[in-house]
Amino acid sequence: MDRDSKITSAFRRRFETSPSLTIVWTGVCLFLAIFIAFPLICVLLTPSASDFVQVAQSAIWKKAALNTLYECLCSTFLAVLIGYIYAYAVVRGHIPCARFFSLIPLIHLITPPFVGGLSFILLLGKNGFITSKVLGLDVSLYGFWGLLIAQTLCFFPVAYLMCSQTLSAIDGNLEQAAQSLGAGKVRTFFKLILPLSMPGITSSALFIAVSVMSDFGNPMLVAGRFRVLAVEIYTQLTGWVNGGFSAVLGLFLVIPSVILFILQNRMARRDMERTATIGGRSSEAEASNPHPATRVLLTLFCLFITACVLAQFASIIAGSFQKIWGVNTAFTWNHIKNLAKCTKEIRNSLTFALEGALLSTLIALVASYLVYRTNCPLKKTIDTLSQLPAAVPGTLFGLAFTLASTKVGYHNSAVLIVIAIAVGFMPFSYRILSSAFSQIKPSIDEGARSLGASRVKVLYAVLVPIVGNGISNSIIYDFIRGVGTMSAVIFLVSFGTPLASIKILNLAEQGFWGDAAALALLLTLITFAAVCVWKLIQYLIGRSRKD
Amino acid sequence: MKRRTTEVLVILILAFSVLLVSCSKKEQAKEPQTLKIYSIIHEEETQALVDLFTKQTGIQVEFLRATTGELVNRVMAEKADPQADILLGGASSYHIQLDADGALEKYRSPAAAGIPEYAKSSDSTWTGFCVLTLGVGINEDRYKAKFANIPVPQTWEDLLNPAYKGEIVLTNPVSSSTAYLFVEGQLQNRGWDEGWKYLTSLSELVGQFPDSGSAPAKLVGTGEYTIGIAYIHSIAKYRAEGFNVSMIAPAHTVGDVDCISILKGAKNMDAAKKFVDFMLSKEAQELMSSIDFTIPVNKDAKGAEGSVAVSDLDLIDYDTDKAAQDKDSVLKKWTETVR
Repeated sequence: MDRDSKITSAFRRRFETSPSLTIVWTGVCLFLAIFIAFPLICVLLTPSASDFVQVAQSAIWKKAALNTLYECLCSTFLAVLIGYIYAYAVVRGHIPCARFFSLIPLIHLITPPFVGGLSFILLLGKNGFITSKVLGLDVSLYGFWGLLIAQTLCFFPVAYLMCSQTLSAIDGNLEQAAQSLGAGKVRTFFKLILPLSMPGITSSALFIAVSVMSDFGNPMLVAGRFRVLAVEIYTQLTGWVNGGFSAVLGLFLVIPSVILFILQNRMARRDMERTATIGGRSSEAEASNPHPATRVLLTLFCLFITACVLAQFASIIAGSFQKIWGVNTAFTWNHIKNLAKCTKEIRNSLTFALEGALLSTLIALVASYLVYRTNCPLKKTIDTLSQLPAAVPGTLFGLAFTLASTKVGYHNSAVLIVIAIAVGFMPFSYRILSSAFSQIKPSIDEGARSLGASRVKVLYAVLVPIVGNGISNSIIYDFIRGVGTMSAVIFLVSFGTPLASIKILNLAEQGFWGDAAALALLLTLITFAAVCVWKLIQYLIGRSRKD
Repeated sequence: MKRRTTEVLVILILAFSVLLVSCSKKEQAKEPQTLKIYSIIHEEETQALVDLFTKQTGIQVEFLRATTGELVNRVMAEKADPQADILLGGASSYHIQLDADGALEKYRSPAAAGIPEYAKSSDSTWTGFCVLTLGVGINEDRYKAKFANIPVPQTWEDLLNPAYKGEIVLTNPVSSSTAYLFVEGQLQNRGWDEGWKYLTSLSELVGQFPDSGSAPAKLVGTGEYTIGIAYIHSIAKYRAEGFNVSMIAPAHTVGDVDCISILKGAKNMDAAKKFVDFMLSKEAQELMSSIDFTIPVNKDAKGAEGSVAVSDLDLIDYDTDKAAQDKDSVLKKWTETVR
């Protein structure tokens, strides 16, 4: 009662002027409470005290925890480095075919996760095409190095998306000013561009760190005898059906993630004041051309990364038309013909992913606005809850959803899948939008407000257009990941709602790699086409606005 | 500019709600009185069995195929309000665990009268419908290239040759019932101390401990590794699909049964019982063996060509109850000594 009245009075003080914002605030809070907090509470209540004792006595997690930490630091560093350089090259590097290069990370995101691991084995395995056939080596990359390569390639697109967003927002005037004041190109980069892109870098680093920590797909396929926590959780959960034990291990993952959030929040606050660069609509001065040698290096770098991504893609294409992937290379149409059986799966995947992406972006937009631009109550809670799903291994979250829906007796699996996709990818939308918000000077909303605009009006009329690019990126990313997602929805698919990604996993798991590859290829192409259409519409709208 | 963004927002919200409503309607339009099966066995096999069942009885069936871990978790999570009627497939240890959790219905099929005792539970919940036995899979090409001078291993002891270091795949017994069967089998066959001596020496040669029971056959099939410890029928399946693997059934091997259970509170109880009867019938057993090379439990049914009959195997007298009791201590010791 006491607490409630405190909240209410705080509420009155800050929210008095805008009832519409109160409604939005209530909606967001309800959503977060029902779909994030409640399922997680359900899963955390599963383990008994003895499970905690068992974990404390067990030697598994100590080694696994150290491995996780080590691998997480290395892959995050490399993924962000590659993602940033790639983004710099595309956005500010004036490299040829920048538009083409900007699509490559997207292709990479579209390929369903299992394809990454499997094509890694086919290309770089002990009997792999590159390692064994091209280079003639007899090496085993399984273990730390394999995992490092796989994770770096898997997550650099995330860093690319976030950093390119930040980089393109940096005002070209600043760069010109710095150079006309006598700063060299290198000096301009390190003293101006790099510090200004810090919000994107830290956001993506923390996001990737958490994703790497909770990813089990890649480690399971390529880590060999190198054990990490997320795999231990999956193993305990699906192997011996030890829900309690894995929930405890899950806690060990959630704790460092929460620490990372707190760090990120501190940094974000600081960055927000220091680096807010979009004040009004400043003239968009062209950034100056980098040195020719730099351009050549950047182009080569992009070509190399592109080659890595396309090699992976090529291995799926090869797999779709070979009798047995990598073993019997005779040409066949059979796998393509078998696709006719999967139309329902594909339709479901696309619809659910689109719905999930829209929902997730909507909630993330409103939540990040509330946290970064207003003084609403429960700000810290909204901030934490919005990012929490990234810290929870997908399988555990899926199980949490199942437990929660059984508890309330709700079994509409279509709705559950959409919400699971939305919630699972919301942290990314939230990060991308909040880092966009943190670049806008607070004086903009203050200006609009003093001219009489309401809070909600400021959001949709002033802020949304400025972060429009972020919204679009967030929808695309959520959609792509939603189509390919497995871990979060694997427990939710039901008799009427088969999904293509799960079907691919199933086919691959049963050894029908050709069919799996063909389905993955088709799914990738459809998703890619959808993204292209979206980008085209965005481009047309952008052009008509300039006219 | 203002109008445009308002439009975009409104369209976003509308589009979303329309899609959500339309898909939830789709979901509700479901036929009643359909038997629902959670299937762990292969998709095409399930499809063929279900088709035959529908042809024989006229009962419509829907099934959902997924891995053991997922479906067992699902059954456990949905215990209070089961979404399916039957769990088809999965080693006996999983069904024992579900039974202990109170998730299974009691049903002793009249068709189970003729099947061996080890293939049915003592409290008549689960029933085994096919026999699975452990063996060794060898990639012939890789073996010839790497170990031309060493004769192909024929016994479990032959695997201890130090030359094989890094070339053997064994699933992680903590996550896979297949590998636990192997570990516990060796312990029961050799006794605790000798068994651990064998397992420790072997584990030093193992290149990888994947988590899925189907991984060794796959990794050996594609030539990533030379030797894999897996179920014989899974190797036979890869061989039939054209992978260059051969299978060996060493002496003193172990077997388990793939089980079927009716879930407690199943909504289509009669149909579910009919399906259990059906699974034990000669036709279903032979159909299954022809697709997946498993060994039938029904003595009247013949295993398909390419499958290895139980009479050709030298099986130890595996004690499933002891295996269940020992599980915690064995896995604890495994985790401490092997990694």
